Amino acid sequence: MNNKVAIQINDLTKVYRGSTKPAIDKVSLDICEGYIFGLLGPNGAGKTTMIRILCGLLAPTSGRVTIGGYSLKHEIHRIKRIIGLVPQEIAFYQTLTARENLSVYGGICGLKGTDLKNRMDKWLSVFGLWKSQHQQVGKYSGGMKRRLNLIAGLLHNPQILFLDEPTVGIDVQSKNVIVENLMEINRAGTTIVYTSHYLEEAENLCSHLAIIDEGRIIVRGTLREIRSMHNTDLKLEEIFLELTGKDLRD
Amino acid sequence: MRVIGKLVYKDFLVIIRDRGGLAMLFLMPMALVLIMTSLQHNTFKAINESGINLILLNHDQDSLGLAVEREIVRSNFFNVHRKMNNQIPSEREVKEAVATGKYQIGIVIPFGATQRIRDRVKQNVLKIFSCDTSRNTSVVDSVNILLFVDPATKNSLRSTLQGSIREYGEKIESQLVLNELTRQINSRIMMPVTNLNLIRQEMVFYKEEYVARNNKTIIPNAVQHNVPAWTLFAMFFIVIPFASAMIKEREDGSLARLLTMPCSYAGIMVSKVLVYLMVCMCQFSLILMMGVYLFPLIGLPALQIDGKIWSLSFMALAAALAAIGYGITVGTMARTHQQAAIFASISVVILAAVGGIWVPVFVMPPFLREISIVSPLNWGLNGFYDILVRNAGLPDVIHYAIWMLMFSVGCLLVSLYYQKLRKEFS
Repeated sequence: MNNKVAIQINDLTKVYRGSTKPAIDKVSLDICEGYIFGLLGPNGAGKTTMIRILCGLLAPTSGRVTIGGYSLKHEIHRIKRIIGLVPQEIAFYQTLTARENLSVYGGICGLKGTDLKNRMDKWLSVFGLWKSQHQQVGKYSGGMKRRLNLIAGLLHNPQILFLDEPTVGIDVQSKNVIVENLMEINRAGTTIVYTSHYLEEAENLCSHLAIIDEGRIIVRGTLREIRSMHNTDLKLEEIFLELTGKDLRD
Repeated sequence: MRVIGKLVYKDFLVIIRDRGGLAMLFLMPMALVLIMTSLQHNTFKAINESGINLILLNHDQDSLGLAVEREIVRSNFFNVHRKMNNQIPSEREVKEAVATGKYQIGIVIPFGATQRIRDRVKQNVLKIFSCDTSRNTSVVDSVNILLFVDPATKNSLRSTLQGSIREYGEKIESQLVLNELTRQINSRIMMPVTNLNLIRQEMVFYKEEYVARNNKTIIPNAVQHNVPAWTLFAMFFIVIPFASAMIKEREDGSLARLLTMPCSYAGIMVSKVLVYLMVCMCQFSLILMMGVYLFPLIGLPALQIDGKIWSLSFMALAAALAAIGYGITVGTMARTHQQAAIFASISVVILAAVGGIWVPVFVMPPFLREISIVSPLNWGLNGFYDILVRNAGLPDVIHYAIWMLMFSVGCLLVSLYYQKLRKEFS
């Protein structure tokens, strides 16, 4: 793991129209290459907003962001070539087969011919979708869709992969294969930024963590650093509750 | 270019996999054009062939009554009834029968109507010969022919009938004037003159001709009028599936994923435009083929294209782009499927109404006539009519096509700007 910064965030603020409270409040953060960076927080903390800004889907109200050395504001077209997104939604064309969907997304990312075919073959096999590759995605189970969602985000081998709750609502087997392969992808050099509500999963997967609440980063570092900061051996979930409180969130 | 190719491939697959939607995109417009054309054609035929029920109570078995009766029968426009339940009705019964809708028109010609005209004419002629220049000295009642009209009957029919009866009355009156003048002249001079009615002859005739450009005569019919109008209307309804497809893509996250890839919102829109343009042109071709080949088989006149296929196709292309451009704007701005469907359908109906799809623009009130010039359906309709019934060529209608293309580009620019604002200010 080197210390070259993959994502640099300076004073990032986002205030949604009609709201007085910022969804992201002056966040500054460096995410180095090779990290599996877990962005954790309760509902409405600002995780998805952060991911959407980093992917260029939302414009920040203020602040500066560079991704892979490119300015988010001025060089989004370059950033788009080095990132991949696995959104919370099952972002597929339901009447297309898995292979057709991947062919479209891969083709748009510049893959073609044998290279595209080989990558599709590889990942469909790895994620156990080989047999159902010619089936329309609308007929897939929730777990299959999640796995395919992940393939679509990493097919073009992005330098930085954003995952917004990639394992939500799926069985243990699917979750396991996703987590295992994320680690494998990371070992191959992809920086991963990951949001989740599953703290145990984050504890096992992430090299670095940040807990965000009400738009602000309230703690960051490796799990060990966070534990030592709080002088405790508690599980991540207990630290999380201590930091964010036990009140219900919308 | 390869990105656009992939997007087109995706949009094409999405559209052909939705078989129900695809069937509706083609069958509904064809059904609409077929039904509306048949309706208009048969309505016209019904008036001419089956006729309108008219009850005639002619108490005047003299010149006026007989002339009115003869002309009404001769017009072949009405089913003329003289009796109700095998009995001659009273004036009140005629009125009631029309009020209940049993007959669309009721005419009552009063007793001695011709005689009263005759008396009045005689009185006036005598006044002239006695050099009396005072006015309003007539002691004879005027003639009142009663015309009862079912409120469901078209105003235009009522006006036509009223005009015709007035015309027969005036004819009879002038005939009687000339008869009386002849009589008075002959009673005053030594050498008798022949009846002055012999010199009365119709001097003004009408020759009706449908004129079109280049001295060509095109006989308009329900097909030539309805096929372009309803085809255009159906083409604009593509706004609904188009906007729906955009919203679905946005809601299921596919759009977000695409926007994080090396492609722009404009590129995504261009791909959709290309695919839906193909759909619109297929719709248009099918409807034209239906007009040319199917209509004659079901008793409708064939659509006369007369080698204008390229001009028509160019206009259709421009109209399709205008419809798709509008669809992009609705799809970009609407937040939900419901919003898009309701707004798109109602706005297309309004644009069609003010554009002259249902009633010609020239019969609209002045303020609507002014509004109609901003409806892209009006531009399209004028273009199609110019080509199909006024024998215009492409250079004559190119300005309509340009307006539609500009409308389309305008819609696309507004959508791109709105999308930019959404990213920045949401």
